[in-house]
Amino acid sequence: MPRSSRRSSVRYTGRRTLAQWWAELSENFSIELLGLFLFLGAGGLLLTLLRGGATSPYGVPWLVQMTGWTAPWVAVSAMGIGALLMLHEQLERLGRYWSAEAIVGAELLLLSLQVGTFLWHVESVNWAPRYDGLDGGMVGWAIGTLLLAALGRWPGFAVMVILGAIGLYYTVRYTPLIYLLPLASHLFTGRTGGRENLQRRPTQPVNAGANSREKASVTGTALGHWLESGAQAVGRWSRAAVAHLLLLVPTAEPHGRSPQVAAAPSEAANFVTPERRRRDNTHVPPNEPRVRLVHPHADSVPSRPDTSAAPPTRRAATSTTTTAASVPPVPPVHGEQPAAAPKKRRSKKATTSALPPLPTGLVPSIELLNADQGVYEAVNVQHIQELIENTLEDFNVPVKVVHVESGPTVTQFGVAPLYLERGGQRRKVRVNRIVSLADDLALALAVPAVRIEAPVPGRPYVGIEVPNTEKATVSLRGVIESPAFQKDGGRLPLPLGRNTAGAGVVMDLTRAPHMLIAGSTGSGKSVCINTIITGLLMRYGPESLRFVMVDPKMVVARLQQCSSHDWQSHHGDGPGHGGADLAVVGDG
Amino acid sequence: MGALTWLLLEMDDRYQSFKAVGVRNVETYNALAGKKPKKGEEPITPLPYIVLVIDELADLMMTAADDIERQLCRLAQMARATGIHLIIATQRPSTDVVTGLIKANFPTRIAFSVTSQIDSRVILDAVGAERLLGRGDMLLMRPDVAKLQRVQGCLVTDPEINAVVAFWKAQVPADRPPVVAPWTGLLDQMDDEDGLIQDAIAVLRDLESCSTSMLQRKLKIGYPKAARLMEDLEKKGIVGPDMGGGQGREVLLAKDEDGEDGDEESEAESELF
Repeated sequence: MPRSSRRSSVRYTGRRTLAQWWAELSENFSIELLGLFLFLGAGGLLLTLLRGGATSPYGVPWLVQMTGWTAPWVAVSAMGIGALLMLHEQLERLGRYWSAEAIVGAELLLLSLQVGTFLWHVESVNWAPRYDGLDGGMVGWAIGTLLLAALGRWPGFAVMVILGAIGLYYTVRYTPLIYLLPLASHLFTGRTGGRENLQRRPTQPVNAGANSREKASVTGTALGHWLESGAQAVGRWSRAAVAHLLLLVPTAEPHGRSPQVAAAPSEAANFVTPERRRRDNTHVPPNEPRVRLVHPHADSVPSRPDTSAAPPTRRAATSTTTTAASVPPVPPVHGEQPAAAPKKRRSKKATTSALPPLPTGLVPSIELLNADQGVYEAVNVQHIQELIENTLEDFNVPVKVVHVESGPTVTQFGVAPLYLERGGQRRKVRVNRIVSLADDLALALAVPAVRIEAPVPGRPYVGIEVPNTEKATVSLRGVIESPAFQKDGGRLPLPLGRNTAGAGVVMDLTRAPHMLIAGSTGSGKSVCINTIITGLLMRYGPESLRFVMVDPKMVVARLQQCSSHDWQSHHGDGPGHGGADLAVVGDG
Repeated sequence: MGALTWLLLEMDDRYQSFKAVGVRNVETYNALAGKKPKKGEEPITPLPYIVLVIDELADLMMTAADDIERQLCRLAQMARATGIHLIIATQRPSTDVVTGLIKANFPTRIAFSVTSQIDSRVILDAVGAERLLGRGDMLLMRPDVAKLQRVQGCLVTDPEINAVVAFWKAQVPADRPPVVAPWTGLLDQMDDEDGLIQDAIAVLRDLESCSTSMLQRKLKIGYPKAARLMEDLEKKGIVGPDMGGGQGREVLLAKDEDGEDGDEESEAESELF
């Protein structure tokens, strides 16, 4: 190593000044110093994280804000990198398993965990930064949103799973975690009763360390060898890689990475376990080629010098991971069905794909509601249009219909005022004059009432709302499925209905924040309340939403009777209540 | 009444717990609750949103207008951050039901078809609702949009409601005990806890007879309150019926034998001063 030789030459230069000392230090120990700083900094971060100090204005520690729940692991990995940089020479002497690939692997793994968490929880693109440190933090938000926008949710998730698998592979492959490999293989083969390993079993645990290193380098050289030998070998090798991974994953779980797995959200655990179980069950045969792979080379490899084996190993490893990584993302897709079977609740959730997964984890299926058409076409628009123009012309108010949009009950005709000739002067028609002719228009069109919106906000015309001859029914499902509800419904989205253009109108109750509904009997008040309640019920369960209903007329009582599981008590004839019933439902 | 009182108490409770963890609204609180509790801290349970739905405000206002209005306004002003939201409906949009105070606190309003321009003005502060077609045709006034929006409301049929309700019903284990509304008996309890009556009992302990005016003096309260208190005491069997002729009422409390002397002394002393 050139570095060590240089250092020894400097060591014997005799008396030195501070500047010299510093120059020498920075020259020789730059990497070690960096490592020290990194180690101390990350250690400090971890300490503050654990003690809960140094929070950002958003009430969460900075690191948590940046990286979400993986914050402790980021700190730990940074400490690890620092230690690695500090001790790399000693470690190099020990063995070559602490290397840059390990760092890359750990970073990839953490990144994929952050982004994966984000993608798991967030279903739509939202460019507003996430400061709350949830769902993978800022990092998860930034990359997750990009992926969401570029690829969509599940493809993005798959990409992250691939990256995570690569990271996991690197982390285990280039750190002493690989020492645990033979132990795991021993456990594994012991459990499944592997035939070939039977005779090797007694010897393996005794000198596990040496064996594993040997075996790892064996695998490495074997991979390099096989890469050269062509396509057929690659096919066989990929089977071996599956077996390899098969060994890696159970190893990682009980030992080095167990806290991380435990800390992961339950769905993540849910997500991984079936995958493993499946591999355990289906890929027992690939165990065989692995053993065959190791055996022939076992004698020849230790004699080879380590340096010559190194380059092919790395090259092989990188290409391996790409092929190997294409394997793991597949099982989860199938794996969800086995996972759904034991849990009844999960199976229901699978049907509610139309609604995003919510904190409750369980919402009613959108299929429970009736669909509506969504697109509204008013009949004889042309005729009404002419009638409007002619009628207004008769009243000396020339206008032109420039825009027509149809909603479920009314069709809005956007009319632009024209010019009026009087005494040789051209004057534009005043908007007021159009508004004052509303009743005349209603008469001419033979409709109950015409409402005039003057002007339509943000548009250069006056809106004349003419009732349709046939009213279309707006269903709750249509509004819930509308982009307005799905995108910016907010925390408590109230599906109200459809506007004059037929688009869904949704209101966030948390921003409202309270609502007053008024109207004469039979105008649709109670139906509206029913809609609001049902809409909220479609989204939230009892643990996140409760109702208190004061309902003297018992109109909503139907809702309540059906839901006998809900809070239900009749607080009748309370003080000063004159017989009014306080019917109460806390949505259960 | 009970429900509103309970909501006010719940709101205060929530503010207290927000203060304890240093957050400002229910969203950040629930975000905190989603995390693992730090060492030495109580785990935070997430708070559900509460939606208060009043189907007929006029009926409530008819019975106890002042109390209801005061409580509603207090809720409307303060409950927002605690995740309590109000949806109030009325079919009589007149100023004695939809008072200025209520209107000021409900920026989001929906008007269905009403009979007159005046009603429309009461609800929306603008005309237009009288031209609506009924059957779900509504004008929506929201704080974030300047102008009124015309919206056709959704129709939810009974089978749909039943299906959704049945779904939630199925999620609840059959052996769950029936949930009792948290405000059942709240008002009675509050009456009992009314400190006044306890004070009155303390005052009456060593007296043979008493009168309403004596209660007035001793407890420093007005006549109506003292008279009501006396009636309550009679109902509870602490004092006897009015004996008439300015003789006051008989005190039926058992005498506290041990403390009698000391009490008398202290009373004598207080009379001296």
